[in-house]
Amino acid sequence: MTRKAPTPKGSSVAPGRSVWHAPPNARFEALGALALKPPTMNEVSVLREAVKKETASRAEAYRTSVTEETLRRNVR
Amino acid sequence: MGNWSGRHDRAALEFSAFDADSFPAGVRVSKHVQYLRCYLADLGAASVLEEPHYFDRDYLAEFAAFYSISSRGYSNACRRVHAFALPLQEMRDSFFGALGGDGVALTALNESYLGFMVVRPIAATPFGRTVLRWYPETNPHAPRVTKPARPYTAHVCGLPLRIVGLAWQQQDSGVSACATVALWTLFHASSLDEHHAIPTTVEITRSANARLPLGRRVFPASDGLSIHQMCESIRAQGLLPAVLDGDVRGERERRYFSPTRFAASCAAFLRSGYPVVIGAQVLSTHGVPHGGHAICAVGFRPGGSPDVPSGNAFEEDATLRSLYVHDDNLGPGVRFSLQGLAIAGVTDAVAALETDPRHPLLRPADLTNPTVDYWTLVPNFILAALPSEIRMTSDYLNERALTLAAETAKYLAAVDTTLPGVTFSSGFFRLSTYLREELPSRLAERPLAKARLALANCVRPMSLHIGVARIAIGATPLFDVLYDTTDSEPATDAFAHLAFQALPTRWLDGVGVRISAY
Repeated sequence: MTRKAPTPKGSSVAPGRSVWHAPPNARFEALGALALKPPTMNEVSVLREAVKKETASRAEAYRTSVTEETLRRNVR
Repeated sequence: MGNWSGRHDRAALEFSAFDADSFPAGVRVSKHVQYLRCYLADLGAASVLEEPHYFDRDYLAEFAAFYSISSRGYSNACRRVHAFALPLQEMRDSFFGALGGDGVALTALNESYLGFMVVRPIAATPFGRTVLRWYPETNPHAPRVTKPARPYTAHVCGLPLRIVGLAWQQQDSGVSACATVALWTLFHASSLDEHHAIPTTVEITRSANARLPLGRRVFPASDGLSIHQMCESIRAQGLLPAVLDGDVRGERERRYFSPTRFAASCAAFLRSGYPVVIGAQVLSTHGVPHGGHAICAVGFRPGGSPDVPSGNAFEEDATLRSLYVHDDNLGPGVRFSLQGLAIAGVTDAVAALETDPRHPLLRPADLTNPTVDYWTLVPNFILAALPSEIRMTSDYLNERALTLAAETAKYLAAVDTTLPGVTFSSGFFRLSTYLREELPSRLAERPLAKARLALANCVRPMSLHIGVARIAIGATPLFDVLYDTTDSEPATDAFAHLAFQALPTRWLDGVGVRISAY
Protein backbone atom coordinates (compact mmCIF):
# COMPACT_ATOMS: atom_id res chain seq x y z
CA MET A 1 0.00 0.00 0.00
CA THR A 2 2.89 2.35 0.69
CA ARG A 3 6.55 2.39 1.57
CA LYS A 4 7.92 0.87 4.78
CA ALA A 5 8.23 3.45 7.51
CA PRO A 6 11.21 4.54 9.48
CA THR A 7 10.91 3.54 13.15
CA PRO A 8 7.63 5.25 14.01
CA LYS A 9 7.35 7.61 16.93
CA GLY A 10 4.16 7.42 18.89
CA SER A 11 1.48 9.77 20.01
CA SER A 12 1.99 13.25 21.42
CA VAL A 13 -0.74 12.44 23.96
CA ALA A 14 0.28 11.33 27.44
CA PRO A 15 -0.62 7.71 28.24
CA GLY A 16 -3.67 7.14 30.43
CA ARG A 17 -5.74 9.81 28.70
CA SER A 18 -9.00 9.21 26.93
CA VAL A 19 -9.08 10.23 23.28
CA TRP A 20 -11.90 12.65 24.16
CA HIS A 21 -9.49 14.46 26.46
CA ALA A 22 -6.51 14.63 24.11
CA PRO A 23 -5.08 18.14 23.86
CA PRO A 24 -5.85 20.24 20.75
CA ASN A 25 -3.83 19.48 17.60
CA ALA A 26 -2.59 16.16 19.06
CA ARG A 27 -0.30 14.36 16.65
CA PHE A 28 0.63 10.76 16.00
CA GLU A 29 4.12 11.46 14.72
CA ALA A 30 4.67 8.20 12.87
CA LEU A 31 1.81 8.81 10.46
CA GLY A 32 3.28 12.06 9.20
CA ALA A 33 6.62 10.35 8.60
CA LEU A 34 5.06 7.47 6.65
CA ALA A 35 3.62 9.56 3.79
CA LEU A 36 0.76 7.06 3.53
CA LYS A 37 -0.94 6.29 0.23
CA PRO A 38 -4.49 5.01 -0.08
CA PRO A 39 -4.95 1.28 -0.73
CA THR A 40 -5.80 0.11 -4.27
CA MET A 41 -9.32 -1.10 -5.12
CA ASN A 42 -8.13 -4.70 -4.86
CA GLU A 43 -6.52 -4.13 -1.49
CA VAL A 44 -9.68 -2.45 -0.25
CA SER A 45 -11.89 -5.39 -1.19
CA VAL A 46 -9.52 -7.91 0.44
CA LEU A 47 -9.38 -5.76 3.55
CA ARG A 48 -13.17 -5.36 3.72
CA GLU A 49 -13.71 -9.08 3.39
CA ALA A 50 -11.31 -9.73 6.28
CA VAL A 51 -13.02 -7.10 8.43
CA LYS A 52 -16.47 -8.52 7.70
CA LYS A 53 -15.41 -11.98 8.89
CA GLU A 54 -13.57 -10.79 11.96
CA THR A 55 -16.14 -8.32 13.25
CA ALA A 56 -19.36 -10.22 12.40
CA SER A 57 -20.06 -11.39 15.94
CA ARG A 58 -19.07 -8.06 17.53
CA ALA A 59 -21.27 -6.12 15.12
CA GLU A 60 -24.11 -8.48 16.05
CA ALA A 61 -23.93 -7.21 19.65
CA TYR A 62 -24.87 -3.76 18.36
CA ARG A 63 -27.88 -5.13 16.48
CA THR A 64 -29.82 -6.48 19.42
CA SER A 65 -33.54 -5.82 19.21
CA VAL A 66 -35.60 -5.34 22.34
CA THR A 67 -37.48 -8.49 23.35
CA GLU A 68 -41.06 -8.61 24.60
CA GLU A 69 -39.74 -10.27 27.72
CA THR A 70 -37.60 -7.25 28.53
CA LEU A 71 -40.37 -4.76 27.78
CA ARG A 72 -42.72 -6.50 30.20
CA ARG A 73 -40.23 -6.48 33.05
CA ASN A 74 -41.08 -4.30 36.03
CA VAL A 75 -38.67 -2.16 37.99
CA ARG A 76 -39.53 -0.62 41.32
CA MET B 1 -50.22 20.28 69.24
CA GLY B 2 -51.34 20.53 65.65
CA ASN B 3 -51.77 23.83 63.88
CA TRP B 4 -55.59 24.06 63.82
CA SER B 5 -55.60 27.49 62.23
CA GLY B 6 -54.74 25.77 58.97
CA ARG B 7 -52.04 28.36 58.31
CA HIS B 8 -48.29 28.09 58.24
CA ASP B 9 -46.66 29.97 61.13
CA ARG B 10 -43.94 32.51 60.60
CA ALA B 11 -40.49 31.03 60.92
CA ALA B 12 -37.10 32.67 60.50
CA LEU B 13 -34.21 31.43 58.40
CA GLU B 14 -31.97 29.20 60.46
CA PHE B 15 -28.17 29.37 60.36
CA SER B 16 -26.15 26.56 61.90
CA ALA B 17 -22.79 24.83 61.75
CA PHE B 18 -22.69 21.61 59.72
CA ASP B 19 -22.52 18.61 61.99
CA ALA B 20 -21.98 15.31 60.16
CA ASP B 21 -23.43 13.37 63.10
CA SER B 22 -26.79 15.12 63.19
CA PHE B 23 -27.37 16.56 59.69
CA PRO B 24 -30.05 17.28 58.58
CA ALA B 25 -31.95 18.32 61.70
CA GLY B 26 -35.17 16.48 62.44
CA VAL B 27 -34.69 13.65 59.93
CA ARG B 28 -34.43 10.05 61.09
CA VAL B 29 -31.22 8.21 60.18
CA SER B 30 -31.37 6.14 57.02
CA LYS B 31 -28.97 5.04 54.25
CA HIS B 32 -29.81 8.29 52.45
CA VAL B 33 -28.98 10.41 55.48
CA GLN B 34 -25.69 8.54 55.99
CA TYR B 35 -24.78 8.92 52.33
CA LEU B 36 -25.56 12.66 52.29
CA ARG B 37 -23.59 13.21 55.50
CA CYS B 38 -20.52 11.49 54.00
CA TYR B 39 -20.89 13.33 50.69
CA LEU B 40 -21.27 16.79 52.20
CA ALA B 41 -18.55 16.22 54.80
CA ASP B 42 -16.16 15.25 52.00
CA LEU B 43 -17.08 18.41 50.10
CA GLY B 44 -16.02 20.36 53.17
CA ALA B 45 -19.46 21.46 54.35
CA ALA B 46 -19.07 23.78 57.32
CA SER B 47 -22.37 25.64 57.61
CA VAL B 48 -26.05 25.24 56.82
CA LEU B 49 -28.81 27.67 55.97
CA GLU B 50 -32.36 26.38 56.32
CA GLU B 51 -35.54 27.85 54.89
CA PRO B 52 -38.20 26.46 57.25
CA HIS B 53 -40.99 26.87 54.70
CA TYR B 54 -40.40 26.11 51.06
CA PHE B 55 -43.10 25.36 48.51
CA ASP B 56 -41.62 22.80 46.17
CA ARG B 57 -43.22 22.30 42.75
CA ASP B 58 -42.74 18.53 42.80
CA TYR B 59 -44.01 18.10 46.33
CA LEU B 60 -47.03 20.33 45.74
CA ALA B 61 -47.98 18.07 42.80
CA GLU B 62 -47.47 15.00 45.02
CA PHE B 63 -49.52 16.65 47.74
CA ALA B 64 -52.38 17.42 45.36
CA ALA B 65 -52.37 13.93 43.88
CA PHE B 66 -51.86 11.84 46.99
CA TYR B 67 -50.94 13.30 50.38
CA SER B 68 -53.74 15.90 50.65
CA ILE B 69 -56.40 13.24 51.18
CA SER B 70 -54.44 11.16 53.65
CA SER B 71 -55.87 11.15 57.19
CA ARG B 72 -52.36 11.81 58.55
CA GLY B 73 -52.68 15.52 57.80
CA TYR B 74 -49.51 16.20 55.85
CA SER B 75 -48.37 19.79 55.43
CA ASN B 76 -48.03 21.16 51.93
CA ALA B 77 -44.79 22.96 52.77
CA CYS B 78 -41.27 21.54 52.77
CA ARG B 79 -38.00 22.78 54.22
CA ARG B 80 -35.03 23.63 52.01
CA VAL B 81 -31.54 23.17 53.35
CA HIS B 82 -28.49 24.83 51.77
CA ALA B 83 -24.92 23.75 52.55
CA PHE B 84 -21.81 25.93 52.38
CA ALA B 85 -18.09 25.35 52.77
CA LEU B 86 -17.70 28.68 54.59
CA PRO B 87 -17.58 28.50 58.40
CA LEU B 88 -20.81 29.59 60.06
CA GLN B 89 -19.83 33.15 61.01
CA GLU B 90 -18.30 33.87 57.58
CA MET B 91 -21.33 32.41 55.85
CA ARG B 92 -23.66 34.61 57.91
CA ASP B 93 -21.54 37.69 57.26
CA SER B 94 -21.41 36.97 53.51
CA PHE B 95 -25.15 36.32 53.44
CA PHE B 96 -26.04 39.58 55.18
CA GLY B 97 -23.46 41.46 53.09
CA ALA B 98 -24.95 40.03 49.90
CA LEU B 99 -28.47 40.95 51.06
CA GLY B 100 -27.26 44.54 51.26
CA GLY B 101 -26.00 44.43 47.70
CA ASP B 102 -22.33 43.52 48.29
CA GLY B 103 -21.32 41.69 45.10
CA VAL B 104 -18.05 40.39 46.58
CA ALA B 105 -19.96 38.79 49.45
CA LEU B 106 -22.39 37.15 47.01
CA THR B 107 -19.48 35.77 45.00
CA ALA B 108 -17.90 34.37 48.18
CA LEU B 109 -21.21 32.79 49.12
CA ASN B 110 -21.60 31.20 45.69
CA GLU B 111 -18.02 29.93 45.61
CA SER B 112 -18.61 28.07 48.85
CA TYR B 113 -22.11 26.88 47.90
CA LEU B 114 -22.35 23.07 47.89
CA GLY B 115 -26.00 22.69 46.95
CA PHE B 116 -29.43 22.25 48.44
CA MET B 117 -31.93 19.61 49.41
CA VAL B 118 -35.67 19.85 49.80
CA VAL B 119 -36.91 18.03 52.91
CA ARG B 120 -40.53 16.91 52.53
CA PRO B 121 -42.84 16.51 55.52
CA ILE B 122 -42.90 12.75 54.91
CA ALA B 123 -41.02 11.09 57.75
CA ALA B 124 -40.26 7.81 55.97
CA THR B 125 -39.04 9.30 52.69
CA PRO B 126 -38.08 12.92 53.35
CA PHE B 127 -35.68 13.81 50.55
CA GLY B 128 -37.16 15.73 47.65
CA ARG B 129 -35.27 17.60 44.93
CA THR B 130 -31.60 17.60 45.87
CA VAL B 131 -28.79 19.11 43.85
CA LEU B 132 -25.23 18.86 45.12
CA ARG B 133 -21.91 19.92 43.71
CA TRP B 134 -19.70 17.19 42.22
CA TYR B 135 -16.77 15.83 44.20
CA PRO B 136 -13.60 17.81 43.46
CA GLU B 137 -11.81 16.60 40.31
CA THR B 138 -8.50 14.98 41.20
CA ASN B 139 -7.53 13.32 37.90
CA PRO B 140 -6.86 15.86 35.14
CA HIS B 141 -5.77 13.15 32.67
CA ALA B 142 -9.09 11.33 32.74
CA PRO B 143 -11.62 13.82 34.10
CA ARG B 144 -15.20 12.80 34.81
CA VAL B 145 -17.63 13.20 31.95
CA THR B 146 -20.60 15.02 33.50
CA LYS B 147 -22.28 16.40 30.39
CA PRO B 148 -25.83 15.73 31.70
CA ALA B 149 -25.21 18.15 34.59
CA ARG B 150 -26.80 21.57 34.26
CA PRO B 151 -26.93 24.82 36.20
CA TYR B 152 -29.58 25.35 38.90
CA THR B 153 -30.28 28.60 40.71
CA ALA B 154 -31.86 28.61 44.17
CA HIS B 155 -33.16 31.99 45.34
CA VAL B 156 -33.06 32.84 49.04
CA CYS B 157 -34.33 36.31 49.95
CA GLY B 158 -33.71 37.23 46.33
CA LEU B 159 -30.07 36.09 46.40
CA PRO B 160 -29.22 33.73 43.56
CA LEU B 161 -27.26 30.69 44.73
CA ARG B 162 -25.89 28.79 41.75
CA ILE B 163 -24.90 25.17 41.52
CA VAL B 164 -24.06 22.81 38.65
CA GLY B 165 -25.34 19.27 39.10
CA LEU B 166 -28.34 17.10 38.33
CA ALA B 167 -31.37 16.74 40.56
CA TRP B 168 -31.89 13.60 42.62
CA GLN B 169 -34.72 12.60 44.94
CA GLN B 170 -35.82 9.68 47.03
CA GLN B 171 -38.78 7.61 45.87
CA ASP B 172 -41.74 8.08 48.15
CA SER B 173 -43.68 4.97 46.98
CA GLY B 174 -46.86 7.05 47.15
CA VAL B 175 -46.47 8.90 43.90
CA SER B 176 -43.19 7.54 42.60
CA ALA B 177 -41.19 4.33 42.46
CA CYS B 178 -37.51 3.99 41.59
CA ALA B 179 -38.35 3.97 37.89
CA THR B 180 -40.28 7.25 38.26
CA VAL B 181 -37.48 9.11 40.02
CA ALA B 182 -34.88 7.70 37.61
CA LEU B 183 -36.99 9.11 34.76
CA TRP B 184 -37.44 12.37 36.65
CA THR B 185 -33.66 12.81 36.88
CA LEU B 186 -33.35 11.88 33.21
CA PHE B 187 -35.89 14.56 32.23
CA HIS B 188 -34.01 17.18 34.23
CA ALA B 189 -31.23 16.91 31.63
CA SER B 190 -32.93 15.59 28.48
CA SER B 191 -35.89 17.98 28.67
CA LEU B 192 -33.77 21.03 29.33
CA ASP B 193 -34.27 23.06 26.20
CA GLU B 194 -36.60 25.62 24.76
CA HIS B 195 -39.17 23.04 23.59
CA HIS B 196 -39.80 20.84 26.63
CA ALA B 197 -40.90 21.29 30.23
CA ILE B 198 -39.55 19.17 33.07
CA PRO B 199 -42.41 17.03 34.39
CA THR B 200 -43.15 16.37 38.05
CA THR B 201 -43.08 12.83 39.41
CA VAL B 202 -46.90 12.89 39.37
CA GLU B 203 -46.94 13.72 35.66
CA ILE B 204 -44.42 10.96 34.97
CA THR B 205 -46.42 8.31 36.82
CA ARG B 206 -49.72 9.45 35.25
CA SER B 207 -48.32 9.53 31.71
CA ALA B 208 -46.76 6.09 32.18
CA ASN B 209 -50.16 4.71 33.19
CA ALA B 210 -52.29 6.72 30.78
CA ARG B 211 -52.32 4.19 27.99
CA LEU B 212 -50.86 1.17 29.76
CA PRO B 213 -52.53 0.87 33.17
CA LEU B 214 -51.94 -2.91 33.11
CA GLY B 215 -54.82 -3.37 35.54
CA ARG B 216 -52.92 -1.75 38.38
CA ARG B 217 -53.73 1.34 40.43
CA VAL B 218 -51.77 4.48 39.63
CA PHE B 219 -51.25 5.67 43.23
CA PRO B 220 -49.65 4.50 45.42
CA ALA B 221 -46.99 3.83 42.84
CA SER B 222 -45.32 1.04 44.76
CA ASP B 223 -45.81 -1.47 41.90
CA GLY B 224 -43.15 0.31 39.87
CA LEU B 225 -43.20 0.70 36.09
CA SER B 226 -42.66 -1.65 33.20
CA ILE B 227 -40.29 -0.60 30.42
CA HIS B 228 -43.30 -0.18 28.13
CA GLN B 229 -44.69 2.34 30.61
CA MET B 230 -41.37 4.15 30.98
CA CYS B 231 -41.19 4.50 27.18
CA GLU B 232 -44.76 5.87 27.14
CA SER B 233 -43.82 8.44 29.73
CA ILE B 234 -40.84 9.55 27.64
CA ARG B 235 -43.05 9.84 24.55
CA ALA B 236 -45.55 11.92 26.53
CA GLN B 237 -42.79 14.49 27.09
CA GLY B 238 -42.23 14.84 23.36
CA LEU B 239 -38.99 12.86 23.42
CA LEU B 240 -37.99 9.55 21.84
CA PRO B 241 -37.25 6.54 24.05
CA ALA B 242 -34.06 4.72 23.07
CA VAL B 243 -34.08 1.25 24.66
CA LEU B 244 -31.04 -1.00 24.42
CA ASP B 245 -31.58 -4.58 25.43
CA GLY B 246 -28.71 -6.69 26.75
CA ASP B 247 -26.76 -8.54 24.04
CA VAL B 248 -26.17 -11.68 26.13
CA ARG B 249 -29.00 -14.20 26.42
CA GLY B 250 -29.43 -15.82 29.81
CA GLU B 251 -31.85 -18.32 31.32
CA ARG B 252 -35.62 -17.72 30.95
CA GLU B 253 -35.02 -15.20 28.14
CA ARG B 254 -33.41 -12.74 30.53
CA ARG B 255 -30.94 -10.42 28.81
CA TYR B 256 -27.60 -9.23 30.16
CA PHE B 257 -24.92 -6.97 28.74
CA SER B 258 -21.40 -7.81 27.72
CA PRO B 259 -19.24 -5.36 29.73
CA THR B 260 -17.88 -3.82 26.52
CA ARG B 261 -21.25 -3.02 24.96
CA PHE B 262 -22.64 -1.74 28.24
CA ALA B 263 -19.69 0.58 28.77
CA ALA B 264 -19.56 1.82 25.17
CA SER B 265 -23.32 2.45 25.04
CA CYS B 266 -23.51 4.28 28.39
CA ALA B 267 -20.47 6.36 27.47
CA ALA B 268 -21.98 7.30 24.09
CA PHE B 269 -25.18 8.63 25.71
CA LEU B 270 -23.54 10.33 28.68
CA ARG B 271 -20.90 12.00 26.53
CA SER B 272 -23.77 13.39 24.49
CA GLY B 273 -25.41 14.87 27.60
CA TYR B 274 -28.19 12.28 27.94
CA PRO B 275 -28.52 10.50 31.29
CA VAL B 276 -29.17 6.76 31.09
CA VAL B 277 -31.78 4.85 33.07
CA ILE B 278 -30.40 1.41 33.85
CA GLY B 279 -32.83 -1.40 34.60
CA ALA B 280 -31.03 -4.02 36.63
CA GLN B 281 -31.52 -7.22 38.52
CA VAL B 282 -30.58 -6.82 42.18
CA LEU B 283 -28.26 -9.34 43.84
CA SER B 284 -27.89 -9.16 47.60
CA THR B 285 -24.43 -9.11 49.16
CA HIS B 286 -24.72 -12.92 49.29
CA GLY B 287 -25.58 -13.14 45.58
CA VAL B 288 -29.28 -13.85 46.17
CA PRO B 289 -31.44 -12.42 43.35
CA HIS B 290 -34.11 -9.87 44.29
CA GLY B 291 -36.43 -7.92 41.99
CA GLY B 292 -35.67 -5.29 39.39
CA HIS B 293 -34.34 -1.85 40.24
CA ALA B 294 -33.92 1.29 38.15
CA ILE B 295 -31.14 3.82 38.60
CA CYS B 296 -30.00 6.77 36.53
CA ALA B 297 -26.39 7.10 35.34
CA VAL B 298 -25.38 10.77 35.20
CA GLY B 299 -21.65 10.64 34.48
CA PHE B 300 -18.61 8.44 34.08
CA ARG B 301 -14.86 8.52 34.33
CA PRO B 302 -13.31 7.04 31.21
CA GLY B 303 -10.54 4.50 31.38
CA GLY B 304 -7.41 5.46 29.50
CA SER B 305 -7.30 4.49 25.82
CA PRO B 306 -6.73 0.74 25.67
CA ASP B 307 -3.54 -0.74 24.23
CA VAL B 308 -4.69 -2.24 20.95
CA PRO B 309 -2.55 -4.81 19.11
CA SER B 310 -1.70 -3.96 15.51
CA GLY B 311 -4.51 -4.71 13.07
CA ASN B 312 -7.26 -4.68 15.73
CA ALA B 313 -10.07 -2.28 16.61
CA PHE B 314 -11.27 -1.92 20.21
CA GLU B 315 -13.95 0.19 21.84
CA GLU B 316 -12.36 3.31 23.36
CA ASP B 317 -14.84 3.03 26.24
CA ALA B 318 -14.57 -0.73 26.72
CA THR B 319 -13.58 -0.03 30.29
CA LEU B 320 -15.00 2.72 32.44
CA ARG B 321 -13.07 3.64 35.55
CA SER B 322 -16.28 4.67 37.25
CA LEU B 323 -19.95 5.16 36.56
CA TYR B 324 -21.73 7.86 38.62
CA VAL B 325 -25.30 7.01 39.43
CA HIS B 326 -28.30 8.66 41.07
CA ASP B 327 -29.71 5.77 43.08
CA ASP B 328 -32.90 6.52 44.96
CA ASN B 329 -31.88 3.92 47.56
CA LEU B 330 -28.70 5.83 48.41
CA GLY B 331 -28.26 9.32 47.00
CA PRO B 332 -26.87 11.40 44.14
CA GLY B 333 -23.63 10.65 42.27
CA VAL B 334 -22.94 7.26 43.84
CA ARG B 335 -19.72 5.86 42.41
CA PHE B 336 -20.01 2.39 40.91
CA SER B 337 -17.40 0.25 39.20
CA LEU B 338 -18.12 -1.97 36.22
CA GLN B 339 -17.27 -5.61 36.81
CA GLY B 340 -17.57 -8.88 34.93
CA LEU B 341 -19.88 -11.33 36.71
CA ALA B 342 -20.38 -15.06 36.12
CA ILE B 343 -24.08 -15.86 35.68
CA ALA B 344 -25.63 -19.33 35.54
CA GLY B 345 -26.32 -20.41 31.96
CA VAL B 346 -24.07 -17.77 30.39
CA THR B 347 -20.61 -18.60 29.05
CA ASP B 348 -18.92 -15.19 29.29
CA ALA B 349 -18.91 -12.76 32.19
CA VAL B 350 -21.71 -10.18 32.04
CA ALA B 351 -21.69 -6.52 33.09
CA ALA B 352 -22.36 -5.92 36.79
CA LEU B 353 -22.23 -2.73 38.84
CA GLU B 354 -20.78 -2.65 42.32
CA THR B 355 -20.44 0.39 44.54
CA ASP B 356 -16.92 1.74 44.76
CA PRO B 357 -16.82 3.51 48.14
CA ARG B 358 -14.79 6.70 48.12
CA HIS B 359 -11.92 7.06 50.53
CA PRO B 360 -12.65 9.82 53.02
CA LEU B 361 -11.48 13.18 51.72
CA LEU B 362 -12.47 15.42 54.61
CA ARG B 363 -15.10 13.39 56.43
CA PRO B 364 -14.45 11.76 59.81
CA ALA B 365 -13.24 8.20 59.26
CA ASP B 366 -15.87 6.78 61.63
CA LEU B 367 -18.84 8.11 59.65
CA THR B 368 -20.98 5.20 58.44
CA ASN B 369 -20.77 4.92 54.66
CA PRO B 370 -23.76 2.96 53.26
CA THR B 371 -22.00 2.32 49.92
CA VAL B 372 -19.60 -0.09 51.63
CA ASP B 373 -22.18 -2.86 51.91
CA TYR B 374 -24.58 -2.55 49.01
CA TRP B 375 -26.22 -4.74 46.40
CA THR B 376 -24.70 -5.80 43.12
CA LEU B 377 -26.75 -4.55 40.17
CA VAL B 378 -26.78 -6.63 36.98
CA PRO B 379 -28.02 -4.46 34.07
CA ASN B 380 -30.70 -5.93 31.77
CA PHE B 381 -31.59 -2.87 29.70
CA ILE B 382 -30.67 0.77 29.34
CA LEU B 383 -33.00 3.57 28.38
CA ALA B 384 -32.33 7.14 27.24
CA ALA B 385 -34.64 9.95 26.13
CA LEU B 386 -33.49 11.63 22.95
CA PRO B 387 -34.81 14.64 21.06
CA SER B 388 -37.34 13.53 18.47
CA GLU B 389 -35.05 14.76 15.68
CA ILE B 390 -32.53 11.98 16.39
CA ARG B 391 -33.71 8.91 14.51
CA MET B 392 -30.34 7.17 14.56
CA THR B 393 -29.65 4.69 17.36
CA SER B 394 -26.44 4.62 19.38
CA ASP B 395 -26.07 0.95 18.41
CA TYR B 396 -26.13 1.84 14.72
CA LEU B 397 -23.56 4.57 15.26
CA ASN B 398 -21.30 2.24 17.22
CA GLU B 399 -21.61 -0.47 14.57
CA ARG B 400 -20.62 1.99 11.81
CA ALA B 401 -17.70 3.14 13.95
CA LEU B 402 -16.61 -0.47 14.51
CA THR B 403 -16.48 -1.16 10.76
CA LEU B 404 -14.54 2.02 10.00
CA ALA B 405 -12.11 1.38 12.84
CA ALA B 406 -11.54 -2.24 11.81
CA GLU B 407 -10.85 -1.24 8.20
CA THR B 408 -8.48 1.51 9.29
CA ALA B 409 -6.67 -0.86 11.66
CA LYS B 410 -6.20 -3.46 8.90
CA TYR B 411 -4.90 -0.79 6.53
CA LEU B 412 -2.39 0.55 9.07
CA ALA B 413 -1.19 -2.96 9.93
CA ALA B 414 -0.62 -3.66 6.23
CA VAL B 415 1.52 -0.52 6.07
CA ASP B 416 3.55 -1.25 9.15
CA THR B 417 3.00 -3.93 11.74
CA THR B 418 4.65 -1.82 14.43
CA LEU B 419 1.76 0.63 14.32
CA PRO B 420 -0.74 0.00 17.10
CA GLY B 421 -4.37 -0.88 16.47
CA VAL B 422 -7.23 1.57 16.47
CA THR B 423 -10.01 2.59 18.88
CA PHE B 424 -13.53 3.83 18.18
CA SER B 425 -16.16 5.71 20.16
CA SER B 426 -19.25 7.75 19.43
CA GLY B 427 -21.69 10.38 20.62
CA PHE B 428 -24.54 12.61 19.55
CA PHE B 429 -23.98 16.35 19.55
CA ARG B 430 -25.97 19.41 18.69
CA LEU B 431 -24.16 20.74 15.65
CA SER B 432 -23.62 24.06 17.41
CA THR B 433 -22.13 22.28 20.45
CA TYR B 434 -19.77 20.26 18.26
CA LEU B 435 -18.54 23.42 16.54
CA ARG B 436 -18.44 25.54 19.70
CA GLU B 437 -17.10 23.11 22.30
CA GLU B 438 -15.90 19.81 20.85
CA LEU B 439 -13.84 21.05 17.92
CA PRO B 440 -11.90 23.65 19.97
CA SER B 441 -10.89 20.89 22.38
CA ARG B 442 -9.51 18.87 19.40
CA LEU B 443 -8.06 21.65 17.28
CA ALA B 444 -6.56 25.09 17.76
CA GLU B 445 -5.56 28.07 15.67
CA ARG B 446 -5.33 27.54 11.90
CA PRO B 447 -6.57 23.90 11.79
CA LEU B 448 -9.59 24.92 13.89
CA ALA B 449 -10.42 27.87 11.68
CA LYS B 450 -9.97 25.72 8.56
CA ALA B 451 -12.23 22.97 9.88
CA ARG B 452 -15.03 25.33 10.98
CA LEU B 453 -14.99 27.18 7.70
CA ALA B 454 -14.90 24.02 5.60
CA LEU B 455 -17.89 22.59 7.49
CA ALA B 456 -19.84 25.71 6.58
CA ASN B 457 -18.63 26.06 2.98
CA CYS B 458 -18.03 22.54 1.65
CA VAL B 459 -20.69 20.37 3.28
CA ARG B 460 -24.39 20.04 2.52
CA PRO B 461 -26.72 21.54 5.14
CA MET B 462 -26.35 19.53 8.33
CA SER B 463 -28.98 18.37 10.81
CA LEU B 464 -29.56 19.98 14.23
CA HIS B 465 -28.01 16.91 15.90
CA ILE B 466 -25.12 14.96 14.39
CA GLY B 467 -23.82 11.50 15.21
CA VAL B 468 -20.05 11.54 15.67
CA ALA B 469 -17.91 8.42 15.29
CA ARG B 470 -14.36 9.01 16.47
CA ILE B 471 -11.59 6.77 15.21
CA ALA B 472 -8.28 7.06 17.06
CA ILE B 473 -4.85 5.55 17.40
CA GLY B 474 -3.75 5.37 21.01
CA ALA B 475 -5.24 8.45 22.60
CA THR B 476 -4.76 10.50 19.43
CA PRO B 477 -7.82 11.16 17.26
CA LEU B 478 -7.38 10.05 13.64
CA PHE B 479 -10.67 11.28 12.25
CA ASP B 480 -14.28 12.11 13.20
CA VAL B 481 -17.13 11.09 10.91
CA LEU B 482 -20.21 13.34 11.19
CA TYR B 483 -23.46 11.51 10.41
CA ASP B 484 -26.91 12.75 9.55
CA THR B 485 -29.21 11.61 12.40
CA THR B 486 -32.51 12.42 10.73
CA ASP B 487 -33.00 9.56 8.28
CA SER B 488 -33.76 5.84 8.30
CA GLU B 489 -30.81 3.46 8.69
CA PRO B 490 -30.52 2.38 5.02
CA ALA B 491 -30.59 6.03 3.92
CA THR B 492 -28.20 7.32 6.58
CA ASP B 493 -25.12 8.95 5.19
CA ALA B 494 -22.21 10.94 6.56
CA PHE B 495 -22.04 14.67 5.96
CA ALA B 496 -18.28 14.85 6.27
CA HIS B 497 -15.26 13.56 8.08
CA LEU B 498 -12.51 15.58 9.69
CA ALA B 499 -9.05 14.06 9.34
CA PHE B 500 -6.87 15.11 12.28
CA GLN B 501 -3.76 13.29 10.95
CA ALA B 502 -2.14 12.84 7.54
CA LEU B 503 -4.06 9.65 6.80
CA PRO B 504 -5.75 8.68 3.51
CA THR B 505 -9.48 8.28 4.23
CA ARG B 506 -11.34 8.72 0.94
CA TRP B 507 -11.23 4.96 0.30
CA LEU B 508 -13.41 4.36 3.37
CA ASP B 509 -17.05 3.74 2.58
CA GLY B 510 -19.69 6.42 3.28
CA VAL B 511 -17.63 8.96 5.19
CA GLY B 512 -18.72 12.05 3.26
CA VAL B 513 -16.67 15.07 2.32
CA ARG B 514 -13.08 14.99 3.57
CA ILE B 515 -11.91 17.97 5.59
CA SER B 516 -8.21 17.95 6.41
CA ALA B 517 -7.88 19.46 9.86
CA TYR B 518 -4.15 19.29 10.60
